Amino acid sequence: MKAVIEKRKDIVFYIKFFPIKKETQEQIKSIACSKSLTMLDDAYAKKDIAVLDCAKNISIEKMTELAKSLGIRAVPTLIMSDGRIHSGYVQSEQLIEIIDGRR
Amino acid sequence: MINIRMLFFAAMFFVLSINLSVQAKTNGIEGCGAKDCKECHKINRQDVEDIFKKLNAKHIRILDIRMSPVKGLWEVSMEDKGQRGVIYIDFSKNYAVTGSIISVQTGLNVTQKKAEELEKDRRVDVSKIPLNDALIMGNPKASKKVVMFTDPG
Repeated sequence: MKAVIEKRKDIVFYIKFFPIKKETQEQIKSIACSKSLTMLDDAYAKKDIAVLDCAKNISIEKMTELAKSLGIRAVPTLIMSDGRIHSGYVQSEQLIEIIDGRR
Repeated sequence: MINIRMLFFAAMFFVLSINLSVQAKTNGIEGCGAKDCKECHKINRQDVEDIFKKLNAKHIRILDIRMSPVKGLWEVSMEDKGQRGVIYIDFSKNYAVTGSIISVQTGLNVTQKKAEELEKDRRVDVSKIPLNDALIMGNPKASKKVVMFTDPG
């Protein structure tokens, strides 16, 4: 995703969570309430994440409910502004093609 | 003499061919799968809605009803809580079938392919996704907004 926004200044990602794994729930809460991309990077890198106070305001159930109501079954899932859906990891070049609707 | 014999054979051939064509016609009427199934079997949206109701699944949205690749089964495309899939209903409308149809010739899972196509056609109502709580990567004023659902770690 970083490669995508470096190449394309007209693309922005809004990152939301679909908590699938039990182990990451606490991490997700802290990342979500801080909205910190650094913490998100750390989580991907399997580094320890600080448990923040604001985490208590975040509801895992609500996150799960939203994702399910949209018919999302897997992560990562991308939703383009026209409503198109893509699930699964792809290379940045492919990702750009998907976002542009060329794929 | 030769002419008469030829005539005789020609007449025999004629009778034989009439006979064969009559037989073929009879076979067509009585035989299986010789005609388009839709000439004898019908199903409509209401039928499927009734079936779903009986199965306590009336919340399921019917997207399309057509003949399945298996003669004897209708293919119903449906959506349930945003998830799309296929269910089959037999011509008698007494049985619903869930599961995969696999082409013996190609080995292709026809049901899975259909479900993937349905998913590809699906569109999410983006206005239903609150973005005020999302992490933002990139320029928030960028024209192409992409929402990503993830679970790190």
